[in-house]
Amino acid sequence: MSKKITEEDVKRLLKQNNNKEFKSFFSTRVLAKIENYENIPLFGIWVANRIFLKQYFIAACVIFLVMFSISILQDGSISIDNLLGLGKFSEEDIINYTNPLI
Amino acid sequence: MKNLSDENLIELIRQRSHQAFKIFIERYEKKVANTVINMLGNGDVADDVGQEVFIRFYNNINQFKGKSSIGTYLTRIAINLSINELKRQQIKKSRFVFWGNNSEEEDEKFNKIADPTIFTERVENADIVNKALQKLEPKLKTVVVLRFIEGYDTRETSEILEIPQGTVLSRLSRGLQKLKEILLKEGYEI
Repeated sequence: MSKKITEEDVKRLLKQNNNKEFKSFFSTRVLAKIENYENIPLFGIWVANRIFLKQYFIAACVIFLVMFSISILQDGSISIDNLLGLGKFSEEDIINYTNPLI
Repeated sequence: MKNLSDENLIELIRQRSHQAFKIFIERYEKKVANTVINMLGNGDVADDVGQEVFIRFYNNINQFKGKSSIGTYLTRIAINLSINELKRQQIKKSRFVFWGNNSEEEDEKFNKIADPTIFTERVENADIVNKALQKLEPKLKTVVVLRFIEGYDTRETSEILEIPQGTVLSRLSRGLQKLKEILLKEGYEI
């Protein structure tokens, strides 16, 4: 006759769960990665980092261009103030907003 | 070289001896595998994270001052990298949430593995628990893995995770309760 699982059963099952293994030749694969890493010249690391950063750079440029285009279409002029959404505010408004105690 | 103590091996690894590091990996591979596979489930991701654990250790070996045992130190790296991976998977999942929820598919997979009709025959097979573990939230799973699978005591678990012992105990209790609920929800009996 079966019985419902108890906390003790769960603990017992968990204790049996400590026989995990990675795939074969694990140490060889780790060492191969380390050797690859060590063989990259400093210039290579610099280039690799550049490529890694490139993705973020391209994404930032695309976002900036889209916002810039929207700003030009809306206001008909190129202005950093408009781009930041501050075109409609005077200098005093901005100072009052950022530091209301003045 | 295989008979060298951990201290001697570490000294050789500091001198960038690949041979010593290979022996070191073989000595601790199983320990790291237990942590990572129980945290992430079996598969290529766990294997990659396992490799990353040893690469991190090798690259930052000078940061290892011997205050804790090597096993504990490696477990800490393994837990941190596994949690990072789980977070990454969570972000990935939430990005594609609009494209359909695949939890039903996962449930189906889980049910296939843990079919109640074969459960009684395979109750010794810890794969079922492993699948249930993957359904626990990371902070509960971490404590359950360290305490009951890795065999660390409450104090060691709190040191590895850098949380108070009381938190370890409460998470442990919640984790066990959740695991039991998951298994019961699936209709398992023994």
